[in-house]
Amino acid sequence: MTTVHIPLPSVLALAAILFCIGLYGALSKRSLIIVLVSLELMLSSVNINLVAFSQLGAFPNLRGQVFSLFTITVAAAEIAVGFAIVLAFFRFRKSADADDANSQKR
Amino acid sequence: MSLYSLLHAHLGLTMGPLSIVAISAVLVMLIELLLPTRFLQLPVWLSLLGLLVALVDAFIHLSQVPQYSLHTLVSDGLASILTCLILLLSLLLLLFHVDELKSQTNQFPREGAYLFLFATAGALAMVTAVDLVTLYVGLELLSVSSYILVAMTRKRLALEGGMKYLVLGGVGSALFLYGASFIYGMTGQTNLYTIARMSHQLWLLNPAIVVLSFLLMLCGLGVKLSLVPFHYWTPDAYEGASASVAGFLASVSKSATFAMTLRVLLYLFLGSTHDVFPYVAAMAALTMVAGNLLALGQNKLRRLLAVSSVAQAGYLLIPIALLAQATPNTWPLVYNSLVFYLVSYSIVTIGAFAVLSILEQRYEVQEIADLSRLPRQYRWLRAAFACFLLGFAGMPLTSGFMGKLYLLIAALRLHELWLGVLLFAVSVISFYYYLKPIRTMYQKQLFTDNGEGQAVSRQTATQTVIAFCVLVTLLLGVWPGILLQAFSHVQWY
Repeated sequence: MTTVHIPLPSVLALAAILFCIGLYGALSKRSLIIVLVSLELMLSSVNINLVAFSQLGAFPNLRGQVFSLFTITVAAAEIAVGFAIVLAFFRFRKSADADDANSQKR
Repeated sequence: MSLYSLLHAHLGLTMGPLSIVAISAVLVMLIELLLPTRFLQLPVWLSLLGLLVALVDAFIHLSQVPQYSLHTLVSDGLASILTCLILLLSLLLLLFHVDELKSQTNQFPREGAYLFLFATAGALAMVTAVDLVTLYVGLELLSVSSYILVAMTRKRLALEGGMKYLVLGGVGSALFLYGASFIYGMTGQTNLYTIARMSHQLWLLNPAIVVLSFLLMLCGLGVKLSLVPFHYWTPDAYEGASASVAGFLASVSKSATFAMTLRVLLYLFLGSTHDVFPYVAAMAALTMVAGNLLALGQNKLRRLLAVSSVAQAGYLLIPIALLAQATPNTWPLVYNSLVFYLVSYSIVTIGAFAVLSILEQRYEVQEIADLSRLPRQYRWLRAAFACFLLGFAGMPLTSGFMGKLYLLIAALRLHELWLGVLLFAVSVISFYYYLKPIRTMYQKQLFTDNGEGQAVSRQTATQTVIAFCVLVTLLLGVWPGILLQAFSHVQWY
């Protein structure tokens, strides 16, 4: 079986691009669903980073993969809470749009 | 990991209070599930019991020799002192949360009780852990529980505040984690002690990536600490949440995150050839100035307290910025001034939010101007509120003044005088907006309706909390040695 060698920098670049897309989406999108998806994207790019370092990094070991398992679990909890809050907001306002969360504006 | 090493890991010392709080959180959750709906307050009392046991356990072991177990948890001075502080603060908050449950206007579900406990467990993990994975899990346990707590009353403001907190808090944790992943990549380690030993060679090999990960982690923690470019969620979340939850965000959450910030930045980035702490100093200065200027224009009490907590976060960042000049000989100075100010600020904050919860439930006070409606016979409540506001501002004879004085002394000793001077300059500005509510409370009433306000059952627990906070504020203002003497025996790290 031949193993394909992917160089570390290109994996890191992929993670960095995904992270930036996620950051842009989380800060600029109007739909709250898209915002939560963007958050998930940022956390996933961190996972790519951790797994890449644990396999191809200067000191390969399993800590990175364990770390990424924790990250996945915690991110799932965070997004579940996020969707619960969006759902409650939607029932209240009949809208899942970030612009409608404006009642503190004076 | 053999059983032998597990048995000799001093787990009782390092994770005793943490496990007591976590276990009681799970127990209260199960009991709450099975309990008939008419027992509204029982979960809160059970949670209080759990916190009390944990506090006693933490207090008994305060003078023990620091231990290090499982390469993850420590019981050094910072961990044990902050554990005691966090448990005490949670206890006070839950105590006045009991009265909020009774009030009809709030509609706070009783699930809040164990969410407080879970959040407290997260905060304890943040102050005792020395491993990036555990620190991250603790941070998220605290944050996710707080998101739910903020949105829990399901009023419109609460939902909006909770949502904004969730989105920005999520971005913050992602930034922190992204920075941490680079640290792991360069060292192959997640343990702070091991990384601290390697940090010198880390800086020699790739300083650019270290600076990048420093900035990412600082921004991520900055969101959680509501430092200035990242503070947008703070007023909205504080306004939407119930008073006890807002107090929790301002005191427990902030104390734990500051302790974690100090530990992470000290261990990961101190052995540097490229000095990164001026970025922290710049952020502290920006937060102090912008926070105080923003507070000048606030008319609502909640938003005033929220923005003032942003400004206070700037003051609290000063000791961390001072690490640049500190040598191991002067580290205790940094730790002393940070922890003293954390104690003073947290107690004052909890007191202020306790007063606010009475004012809101009885008189529906929202704006500063509404304070003039307060009937004359509430002179103790007024005096307490005035005491807390002056404590925030740093009036002599209150703990806030002593806290700021020690920050100034630390800045002076570590040759960063400009930070101390700036601290006192902006404190002068802060007197303007802290005195505004006091003036409104004590001015002659334009129209006298001596109505009793909303008919609310007696709020004994809240009054106890207020009395305790006033006492501590004045005691630390008059006699700060009581705490500083104790700190001088503490082995912080």
